[in-house]
Amino acid sequence: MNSHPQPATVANNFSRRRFLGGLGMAALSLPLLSACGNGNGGAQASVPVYSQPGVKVPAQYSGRTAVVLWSPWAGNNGEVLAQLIKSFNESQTEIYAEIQQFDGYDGVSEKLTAGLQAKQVPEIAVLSDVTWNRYFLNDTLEPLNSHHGAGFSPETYHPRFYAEGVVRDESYWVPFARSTPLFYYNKEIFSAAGLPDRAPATWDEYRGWGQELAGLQYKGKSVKMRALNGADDWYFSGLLWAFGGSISQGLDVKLDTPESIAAAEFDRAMVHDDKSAYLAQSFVTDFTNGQVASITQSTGGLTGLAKDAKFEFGTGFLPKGLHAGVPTGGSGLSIMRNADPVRKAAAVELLKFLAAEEASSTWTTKTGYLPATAAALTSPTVTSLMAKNPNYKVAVDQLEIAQGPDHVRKYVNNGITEMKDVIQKLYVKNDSSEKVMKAAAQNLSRGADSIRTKYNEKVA
Amino acid sequence: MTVTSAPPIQRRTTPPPLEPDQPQRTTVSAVRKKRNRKSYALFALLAFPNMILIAVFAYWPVIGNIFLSLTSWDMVAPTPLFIGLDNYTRLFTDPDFLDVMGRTLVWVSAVVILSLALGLVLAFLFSLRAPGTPAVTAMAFSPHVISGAAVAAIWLFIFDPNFGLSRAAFALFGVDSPSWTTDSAWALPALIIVAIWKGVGFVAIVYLAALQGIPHDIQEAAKLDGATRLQIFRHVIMPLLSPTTFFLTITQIISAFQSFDLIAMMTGGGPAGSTTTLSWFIYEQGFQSFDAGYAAAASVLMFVILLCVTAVQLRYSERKVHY
Repeated sequence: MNSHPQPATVANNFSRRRFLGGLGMAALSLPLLSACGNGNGGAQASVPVYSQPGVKVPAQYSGRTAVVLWSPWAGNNGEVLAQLIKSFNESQTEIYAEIQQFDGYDGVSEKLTAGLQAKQVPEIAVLSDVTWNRYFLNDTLEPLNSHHGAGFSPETYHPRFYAEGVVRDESYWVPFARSTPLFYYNKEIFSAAGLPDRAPATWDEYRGWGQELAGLQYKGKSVKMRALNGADDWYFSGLLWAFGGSISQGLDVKLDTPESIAAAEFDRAMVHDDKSAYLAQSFVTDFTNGQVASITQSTGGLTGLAKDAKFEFGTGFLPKGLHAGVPTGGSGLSIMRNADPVRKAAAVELLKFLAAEEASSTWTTKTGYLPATAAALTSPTVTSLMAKNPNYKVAVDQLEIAQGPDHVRKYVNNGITEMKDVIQKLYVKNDSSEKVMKAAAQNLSRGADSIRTKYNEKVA
Repeated sequence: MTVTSAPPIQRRTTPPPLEPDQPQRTTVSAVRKKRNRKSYALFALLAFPNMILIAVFAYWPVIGNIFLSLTSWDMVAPTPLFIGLDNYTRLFTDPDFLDVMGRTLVWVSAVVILSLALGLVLAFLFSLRAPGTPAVTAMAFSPHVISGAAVAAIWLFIFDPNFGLSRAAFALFGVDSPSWTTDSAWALPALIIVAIWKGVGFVAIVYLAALQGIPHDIQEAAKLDGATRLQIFRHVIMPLLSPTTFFLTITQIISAFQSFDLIAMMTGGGPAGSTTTLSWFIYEQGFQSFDAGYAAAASVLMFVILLCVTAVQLRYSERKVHY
């Protein structure tokens, strides 16, 4: 009688287990070894391990370590990611990765919140630039420095994007689908209005152009200068910076400063005084149908706009004010701290694959997102795309003046909801800018106070 | 005079205790007890699973929600922080929440009253049995079975001020279409229109069934007594429809209070909060601002309101509804 029965699969896959076990042990031991130098890593040994969401491993990949990635993408981006994951599964024999798709960034975030309470988490989650911080504050994201090695290090990524996922020198979130807003304009409408074939250099110039455009008929329809999006306050962050304001500095809310109020007043006046801008039901559809002369939209929308627009359009940097005001956006990848150590090690292998030149340049060129890795930025595929498509080059060039979100926007729970309410009040209700901004500042300050202790402990 | 003595009253006396020499009675009692035990076992077998389900999925969440309303929690932190009644204090001193309650009242009143009124009119028209009535009835009912998301998508196309049917309709009168979903003055009316369009067919079908159940001889008798059509409607038909009206009022009020899908798909509570009703407010606080405690406090309030509405209606129905 065998007193130490071993499942046949373990014996059969000993080398694989040993390999991944070794990676797992390394993952566990490195933070312990580095605990003297880094307070965050010291707690690794006591991290409870949560279960993995159900994975159906196809027969040809059976016996591999399964890694689950929670993704927000459907449509074209979803297909491109699926193709990359398929390539990953075919490229090696140890790991099987599965995408589980949810309804946008909010969908992933809601599911992850529920998963943490149910003690069931994926190994990797795609988190937007303004949601990962909540998970970080609650110690649910894996510190990644200990996993660094060949093909997965700070040098792997675009430095500006990489820095956004680092807190107190520890990386928690690596860039993947990153973007900035661009200024898009309909060249035909600009020409019909006698405007120059370029993006406006400043917001004041833009407002003047809007006034010049008043009353212009284009293809039998009256057109306005700008269609606004009330569902996203991203662009408004850039406007605030351009006017010298901001949502916050650290957790100190700055929405009620004269500079921030001036930015709000600019948008309000363009809509209600000049009547050259309006809140659109679908601002992108209005632009591609020639209903409006210009929009500010993500670089990630370049591919779709090029496909849908039946006219020639141009792109440019966002207009400046006192300063440049260009916010970065999009999403990155985090490993969940409570995942099984062996699977976390396998997840790092997937991150390496996605950051390698082939995968990252494919992702960039097929989706329109900015190159988030150093390899993609200099790859022949991306440089050739920039040569062929000057609009895309504008997006890459603008990255040099872009910056990440203000801390209240990304750490405070009601930050996004409150800012959406601000822009909608400005666009629709014609309320006093000062009144709107001061009320929002008060609400955001209360939200900031509710996380101040954790923030001071982990971030400030 | 002859006095006869009354017959002795036979009183039911308690049966004498069973003696060991009474095997038959013992057997009957034991059988009865056994049968009772079996009945209870069967009752427990049938009722217990349902009671467990109701307790776990209805009562426990309510209790859990009440507890949550006394905490501050972002749903990611391992444990909620107990803060007592702070969320309720905040709720009742928040001017925005007062707006939400006012808007909810407008929304519920408009949807319920208009749905019932239009549904009744439609039911009368259907009851005339004009040619094509069955097809029209089916068409009127079909929006009720379509998912809210699909209905919202269709109406977003219709309401598009640049390309939708609304533009063409208003163009006939030489005016621009309102910006239905992006104008704070029009967004709530737009949602009310869609909610009524989706729900009126159901109301009409229920009223039609009730109308068909009213005996003709009552109406004939009223006619013979000289009652006009309006008098018959007011004093005969409406009272006989009162159980149906009562049922529809309760279900429509609860449904309107809980309405979420149309708001989520069409306006997201905006623009500038102009379509934020209580149900959307709860979602927004809970799942967009991640303020679970505050959302739970608003949910408790909604629960209490619906409980009061139902209690008032039940009491009213005992007195006024004619079955």
